[in-house]
Order: sequence, then structure tokens, then C-alpha cells
Amino acid sequence: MSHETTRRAFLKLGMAAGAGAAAIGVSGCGKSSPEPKKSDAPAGAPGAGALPQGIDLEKWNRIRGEPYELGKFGAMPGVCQLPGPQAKRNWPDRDKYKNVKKVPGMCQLCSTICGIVGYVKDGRVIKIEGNPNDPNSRGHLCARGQAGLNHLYHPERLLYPLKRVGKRGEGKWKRISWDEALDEIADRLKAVRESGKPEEFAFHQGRQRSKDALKRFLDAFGTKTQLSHRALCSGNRRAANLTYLWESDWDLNDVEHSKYILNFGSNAFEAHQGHVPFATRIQNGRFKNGAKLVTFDVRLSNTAGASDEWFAPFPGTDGAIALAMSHAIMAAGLHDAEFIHQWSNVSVEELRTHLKPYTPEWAAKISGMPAADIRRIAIEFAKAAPACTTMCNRGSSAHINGFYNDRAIQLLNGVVGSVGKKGGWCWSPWGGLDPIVKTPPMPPGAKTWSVLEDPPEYPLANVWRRMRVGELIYLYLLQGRAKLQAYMTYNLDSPLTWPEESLTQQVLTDEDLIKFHVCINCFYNETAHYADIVLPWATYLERWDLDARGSYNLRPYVGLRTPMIDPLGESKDVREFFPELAKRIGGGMEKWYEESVEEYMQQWASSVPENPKTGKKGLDRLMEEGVWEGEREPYYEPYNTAITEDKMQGAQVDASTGIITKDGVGIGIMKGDQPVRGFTTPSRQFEIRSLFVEKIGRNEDCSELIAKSGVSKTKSRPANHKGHDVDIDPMPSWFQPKEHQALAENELIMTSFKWNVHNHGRTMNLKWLAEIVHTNPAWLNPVTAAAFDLKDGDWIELTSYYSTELEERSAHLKRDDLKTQDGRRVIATMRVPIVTMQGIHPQAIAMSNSCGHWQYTSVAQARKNPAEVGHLVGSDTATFRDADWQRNMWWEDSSGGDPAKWQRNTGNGWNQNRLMPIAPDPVSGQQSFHDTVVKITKVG
Amino acid sequence: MAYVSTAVISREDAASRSGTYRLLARLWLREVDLDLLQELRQAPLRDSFVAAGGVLPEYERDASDSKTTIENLAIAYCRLFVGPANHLPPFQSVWQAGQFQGTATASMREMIDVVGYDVVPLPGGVMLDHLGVQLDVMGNLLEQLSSWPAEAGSCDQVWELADSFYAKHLLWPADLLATAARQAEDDFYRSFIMLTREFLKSEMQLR
Repeated sequence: MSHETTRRAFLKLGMAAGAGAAAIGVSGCGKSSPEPKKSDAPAGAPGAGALPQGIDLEKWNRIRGEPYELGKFGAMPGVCQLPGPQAKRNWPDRDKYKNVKKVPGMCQLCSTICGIVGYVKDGRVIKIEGNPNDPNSRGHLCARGQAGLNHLYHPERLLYPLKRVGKRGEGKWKRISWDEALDEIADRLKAVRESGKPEEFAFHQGRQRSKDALKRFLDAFGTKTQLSHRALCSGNRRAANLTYLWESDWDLNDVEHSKYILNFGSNAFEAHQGHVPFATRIQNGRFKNGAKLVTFDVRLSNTAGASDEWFAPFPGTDGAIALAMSHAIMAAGLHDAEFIHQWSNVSVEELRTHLKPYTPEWAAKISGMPAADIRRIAIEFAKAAPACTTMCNRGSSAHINGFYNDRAIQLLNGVVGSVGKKGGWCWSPWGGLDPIVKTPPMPPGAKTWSVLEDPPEYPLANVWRRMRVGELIYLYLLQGRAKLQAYMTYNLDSPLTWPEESLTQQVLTDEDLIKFHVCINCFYNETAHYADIVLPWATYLERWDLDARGSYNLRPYVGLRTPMIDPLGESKDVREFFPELAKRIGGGMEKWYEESVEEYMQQWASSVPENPKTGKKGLDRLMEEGVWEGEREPYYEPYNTAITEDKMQGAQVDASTGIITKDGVGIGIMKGDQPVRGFTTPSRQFEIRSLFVEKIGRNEDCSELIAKSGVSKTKSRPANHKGHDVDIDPMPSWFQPKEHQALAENELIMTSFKWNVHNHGRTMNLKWLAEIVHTNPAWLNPVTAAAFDLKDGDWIELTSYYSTELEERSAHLKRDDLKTQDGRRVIATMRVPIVTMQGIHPQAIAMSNSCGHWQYTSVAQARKNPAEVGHLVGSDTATFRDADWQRNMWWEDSSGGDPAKWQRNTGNGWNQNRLMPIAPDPVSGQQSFHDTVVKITKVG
Repeated sequence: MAYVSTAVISREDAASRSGTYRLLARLWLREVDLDLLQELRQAPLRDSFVAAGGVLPEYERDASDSKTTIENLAIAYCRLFVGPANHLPPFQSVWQAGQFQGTATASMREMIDVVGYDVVPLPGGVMLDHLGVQLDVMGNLLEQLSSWPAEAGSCDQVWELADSFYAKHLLWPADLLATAARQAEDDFYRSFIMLTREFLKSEMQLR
């Protein structure tokens, strides 16, 4: 067709379309007719301003620049020209931050929740920085936080509600309106409520920071099946802390004032829930206070590498080393006898006797760490007391013996008396917001029970806090132990981040096991792929929250998360659509949503006091400053706080124990003739011996013990836990999982780790971060590699096995579906390349757990869409070797899975969790991510 | 010297071109619904659509159930432009800067203000540098030109505005259109993508 012919055809088309009925046109209502704007000048004159049709020529003349000439600017003229040689000459752009608006927020790219400031210009966030007003992070922001712009403006973000078409997991979708989505969801949830089994609606969160909004909705609905990822994270550390303290599950080591820091398995410089606030304080402690940092880690992490000493013990033996250290400290007479006597519930002699078998020589045999070093480090630690502290995290916790590891580690602080001391092992009762801020009234807590939320086999999972055992839920559904009529996932990526990927996928695909699945997320991740409806969630830069973490200042604060811009597309936050959903479900739910979001936030923040300098208070103050911290004293030695005479009125004192109770509830303990608060434990002491955990393990009634603690939320285990007894040692002790006791020659223990630029499952789609780390070869010690005739870049096949320890201890997890090999049940096999690293224990193999996405955007999958060479305007390779994201990823893997063709540092890695068995610690339910025995075989 | 645009043809042409822009805008911005499907079935739109290179949805060809056709078209549209994976977001910022809300969006905001374009009828949440919005803005501009009152005087500056808008906001989609045409599995959508490409080319040739 000639140009003229084509043009005539288009003109005819336009005539026909223009003559068509209301269907044609953007609104379906035909043409728009803008209101004419007023102007003083005669119409049509130069600079006349608005014309009758609405065109504003005055404005046009101001902004038009040079007249357009075809070909003058090359292929892409005009203001939208891409970076290129011109951009370089304009560097730095000194006007970039002129006229910006600074908007406060709280990061959410990991769990640390650092305060941030967004620089907003022309409706766009152009930069994110740390908020210096944040008392915890103090203005620092890591690479993840900086990459928040990638998250906000990612071109593959979910922008519209989607409904599945075809089979679940087929990947076929159509766009629907919010009304359609909410109507359908409401119908399904209403039916669940009306069935009389509200617990068959499960809400499953990954990382969440809008606890009030979720709790409001779920309690109003009436389901307590509120699932989380806690057991995959920090269950054992929390359980260990609670065993000693009851008051807090989270130690806030006062490292900034320490002289000695013992780090068991924590990689605070790269990961850790307190990451930036904690890491900066560790460094301050070291460089301003002279603190020594000693790290025990299977792998040379960046934290280990920056430490003063690093030891690589056999995986899971942290507790053995810690007990041996306690033994050595007592043997050297360097224990704090007064603290043990005054403030623990064991005597010095009892403790010494208990620790007798745990010698450094015993620990050396198990861990591989020299006995002389165990002794030396222990004595150095003790001599620094009370300004010394242990720290631990998943490295010591995520084991079948993790509860015992962490209990043994925390014991060290009791032995040297650094508990609650400045520079020592501290905590605070405020794990989040300052209690000065209160939400509008909340619905009463839901009263249902589901085995998914409260598995009876794990005595410490829910007894103090609801930690749950998240990794079990898909297995329990498969076993028919629970039913789900509806399942709602929220910022969760269980097919990637949970163990046993294939089982997770199997259950998520099954429409009988999960009848209806709604996924709320910012991106189409692996979980969304198995949903029926996907709701586009607003990012943390587009929504409201009050938020805070446990602060290393040992006092609470209040942070504000604000919509820096309007949510893109049709994405919404739960604060916006949960009220709508509640109204559609009805049945009384709607009465909990009387305020608008802004009114709710105003009410919630209303108690933030006035800033005397600015006169602003409440939400206004937070909008300006971002964060408010009260003036409480740091929470040092709370157990020594005197009880006032007022409070003692009507109290009773037990003559034999000194425990003070009021109306049957513990409030303190007598120390000499002085009534003090003590610890909020049954003995009102630092509980080295915990009768509570022993009795709870055996399903005995603990109401008397609980009453003495004064902690009303804790209860004895419910009746449906009967018959599920677990022996829990009342004293800190240690055992080694059976499968670790005699590894075969071709067996190693697989561990996982996080990079400093990634979290577990939500950052691999961010190009700035994926550029730095996007793949995860397995780390192998060169000596081990040589034994297998392997060198850098060679490939191995890993076969992972189910735990023989758990086969015996946890019969309810019996898996007849798993095939056996050499007497053990096989979980999975996977082929990966290796990298040889001296910095890893010779009997361990490590992979980062952030890689291996098969959804979650092209960047996370390192997949290029079809594109023509040179099509990306601005990808001037002479000037920019690393063009922006658009379909131009230099790390693309073209091997097609063929190891022989694979090139180093390409591809998007391998999902390590495919190899991990479901392996909850029998005491707390924490997933044992660092215990899996794998067999390795050279490939090719 | 007064601006002389080679795109100044006639008012009638401007009106017709506006119609084409607005039809394409509608197709880009939202899925085909029953009303639009019925319009496409009827003359003169049906014939002119086909004459311009369009392929009608299956409904017309094999008289299958219209609800199924609408659903299939919605799936095709979603797969191409909405997601959730391996799609081609039709936003200028994405294709120029690899992310949403680039300078193209800010520029569109300014241009919309200058043109006096009413954003209210747009689908909720649409970002201003969506190709459909850009086509519709151009359609609006040409519509205003086609009904230019004599008493308003010369419209040379407005033609210049139209040319500038075209250069800034309608020259970019060549790669999107080429990729989308390759990825489209549905004949209707492939044809409308090609139609868009050819139309924009023909508009380019006017300048």
C-alpha cells in the first residue's frame, strides 16, 4: 500500500470512529470539552493565553524551547532525551535538589525499619536518604534502602487487580476492577464466616509492618489463623530470651558501650533484624570504646571478616562452645558470684556442678575450636564484665538444637553478670512503638483455634508470644490436619523462601486444599503465581504507618511512614481496601472502620507531645520530623527498680521466696528489706533453671508460675495439646543432632546466608542490588574441593536428606512420600557450581538464600525479553557500559542449564530452599536452615 | 517568521486524524468491552478498520459467544500490556528510562496542562505517559484544531504545539510496537498494534 493509500485508509478510519457512538473514546463518552480559560489579550494574538478550546498558549510559549526540527536531535528529540554525552557535561546537576519537598518515611526493604527521608520533586521521589532524627538508625541507610527507588518505580510492578483465568499456576490472568475483586473476595469470606468456621480463613504474612491494620481486620472477621514467618527467622533466639527474662524476646546488646562482644553466628554487618543500628553501634563500641569483637561463624561473613578474631566451628556447636566458656569462667573464678546469688534462681555451686561436664576439651572435640582458645576467649570476656555481651541470631538459632544453642549463649551473660548492665546484655519491653501512641479501639481478639496457627507438637511456639510454626502449614494441609476455605497472603514468598519448594508448590496449586487464594503484593512473585486474585499493594513509600523497632537506645520511639507520592496505578494499601472489604462482608465488621485513613493516623499519633521549638505535635510533628523519641532513661537493670510504697499497698510477701504478689499476681521481690521489681519471671529472677519450660513441655498446668511472673498474656498450653509432650531440659544444656555425629566422606552440612545488599526474597528484582549480587554458587573449602577433585567453577550435584534426629523426635512429620537412599529420606537434588573459599568450615557448604527466583520480574530471573540490537536508545556503549535496566542485563545466562556452557557470574542463581527439608526444632518450631546434610557428587 | 507545519493539511483531515488517534487511544488504554466490540462489528467502522489493516476479533469471524471473545481479548490485553509477567508496559518512561514516572511523565503533565486536556475520564490510576493517554491528547489537540474558530486568528502556534507534542511523546513507541507485534498471540491485537505503528509512521511522514 502506498503512503497515500495508507493515509486515506487512516483518515476514513478516523471519520468512522469519530462518527461512531459513545463506545469510541477514552471515557466511552466521546470527546472531552475542556472549559475555556480566561485571558485579557485578544484571542489569537501572540501571547494571548488560553484560547476558546482550552489551549494555554502563554504557558506553551514559556515551556516550548526551540522549535522542533526533525533530525536535529537524532532518533529521540525533545525533553525526554536519554542520558548520553549531554548528560555527562551536565554532571553534577546542581539544580537536582532545588525546590524538593522532604517527606519522612520508614524503610521496609528489610526488617530493620530505618527512618528515611524521601526527596520529592515534581511528584517524583528522586532520592532516599536516612533520617538523622531516627534515634535507632541515626541517619544511616544501607544499599537496600537506597534501592527503594528501584522498588517504587519498577516497570514490572503490579498496578491493577488481576484474576486468574485457567488453571492455578498456569500464569493466565485478566485485569479486573477493585470493585470486582473486592466483591468476589467478600463473597468468599462471608461464606467462610457463615459456615461457622472462621478459622478456615487463614491470613499469612511475610514481612509486615502494619500490625494494627491486619489485626483489626482479622479480629473483626473472627479468625485467629494468622500465620507468619517468625519460625523461619528467630524463633529460638526469642524462646531462649523469654526463658531467661519473660519480659522480652529480643536482646538489645548494648554494644556501643561494650568492651567485649562475643558473636555467635550473627552477620550483623550484612543482615540481622537490627542491621544498620546494630552494626554502627558495634563499630562505635570497637573504635570509640576499644571493644573486641570475636565471631564464631561457619563462614567468613563480612562481619566475621571485620572481627578481631574469627573461628569457624562445626555447624550447630555454638552452644557447646558457650557452655564450655561458662565452665572456664567459673573454673577461673571470674564469674559474678553476687549476680548469680542475688539475681539468678540457681546457686553458684549448682551452676558449677551443672557445668562440670562441659569442659573446653569436650567442646573442642565437638566443635573443632581449640580448647586453649575457648578458655582464653572466655577469660577475656569475663574480665571485661560487666561491659560485655554475647550476640547471636540465625547462625546459632536455626538448628534442631537451636533453642539449646541460644540458651547456652545467653547464659554467659548471667555467669559474668552483664545482664541489663551498661555495655552488657540488655533488652527493653518495647519491641515496637512507644506505648504513648494508641490506635483507635480495636475489636476483641478472635477466639478460634487451628492446628495451622497452633501446632500442639511445639510447646514453646506460642506460649509467650505467637511465633507459630509457619513452615509446617503446607505439610499439615497435605496431611489433612486442617482445611482452608480461603487463604490470603501478604508480602509473602513461601515457594521461594520456605523449605521444600516442591511441597509448597504442590499444596498451593491444589484447589481442594486451598479453595481460594488472594495474594497481596507489590510484585508478581512466586506466591502470586499460585493465587486466584492478585491485589496490587502500595509500596512502603506510598502508604501510612506508625512504626518502630526495638531500639538500641533502650527506649521506645515512634516513626512515621508517609505516602511520599500517590500510589502508582491502582495499587492500594490494606488501610485503604480492608475497610471496603469489611463493609462488603458486613456482619458487624464494618463498625470497626468509621474513620478515614487520615483520621485514623491523626488519632493514633495524637499523643506525640508538642515540640516546644516548633509548636507542632501529634501527626503534624511527625510529618515534620519523621520520628519522635521520648525522654525515658535507657532500660538498664530494670530488675533493680524500687517498688513504691503506693504500689506495695495491699501486697503480700512470700516469706520463703521473697516474691511479692498483689491479688495473686507477681509484682516484685524483696532484696534484703527493699522491694524491687525483679525480673518478670515466675521466680522473679533471671531464670537459669526454668521449671516453666520443663512443665510446659510436659503439658502441666503452669498457672501458679505464670501468676508469679505477672505476665498475663502467657497461659498454660491448651487442652488440645495434651499427648504432645516434649522433654525440655530446665537447665541450659546441649545436644548434637544424630546426623551430624558421623558424616560420611561425601557428606557436608548445608548452611545459608544473606548478602549485605539483599534480603531473603524481596530484593533480587531491584537492579541496583541485583547488579552487585545476582547468583549464588556454593561455597566450598579448597581442601574439601580438592578431596572431590573439584576446582572453582566446577559443578556438583547436591542431594539433601531429611533429618534422622527428627525422624525419631517428631513422628508427626513422618514422610512416606519421600524416597529413601542409603537409609535416609531424600528431599531433593540440585546441580550448582562451586566457588572455593578458605573462609568456610571444611565440613560445611554454604549458599546464599536470596537467589533462584523463577518469578518476580525479569531482573530477578535474569531473563531478557526479545529485543533488537541497539534498540535501547541511550545505551551508548562507548559512554555507558552499564545501561539501565530495560532488557539489557549483562548477567543474562545463555547456558540453558548446561553446566558445560555456563559462564561465571551469570544467571540468577539457585533456590537453596528447594534442598531444605521441613525441619522444625522440636521445642520451639524454628526451621533448622543450617542443619541439612547433603551428599555431593562431581558433575561432568 | 510564522511557524509552518507540514502537518497543516485541512480541518477535515485534522478531524479524521483525531478520530483515529482517539480510537487507538481507546484500544490502548482499556480492554475491549462489549460496547466497543459491537461498534467494531458495524459499518462504517468495521469496514474502515479492516481496510486500514485491522483484523476483527474472532467474534465476527466465527460468531462465537461474545462473552468468551471479550474474555479472550482481556486475557490477550493483559498478557501484552498489564502483566503480571513478561509484558510490555506501554509507558514512555519505561521504554526510555527503564522505570515508571520518568521525565516523560513530568513532560506529559505540562503538556496536558497546556492543551487543556481533561484527565478525569481516563481510567483510574493510569500514568500520564501511557501511550493511550498520549494518543488521546494528540486526538484532543487535533479535534480542537479542526474546530478552530476563525475569530481566534492564526493557529500556527497550535500546529507547532501539535508537532512538538508528536516529537516528544509519539516518536518513542517504535520498539514497543515492534516487540508487541511479535509477542501478540491474538490476531486482533497484533493487527491493532501494527495499525498503530503504520498510523504513527504516516503521521511522521507528514512532517
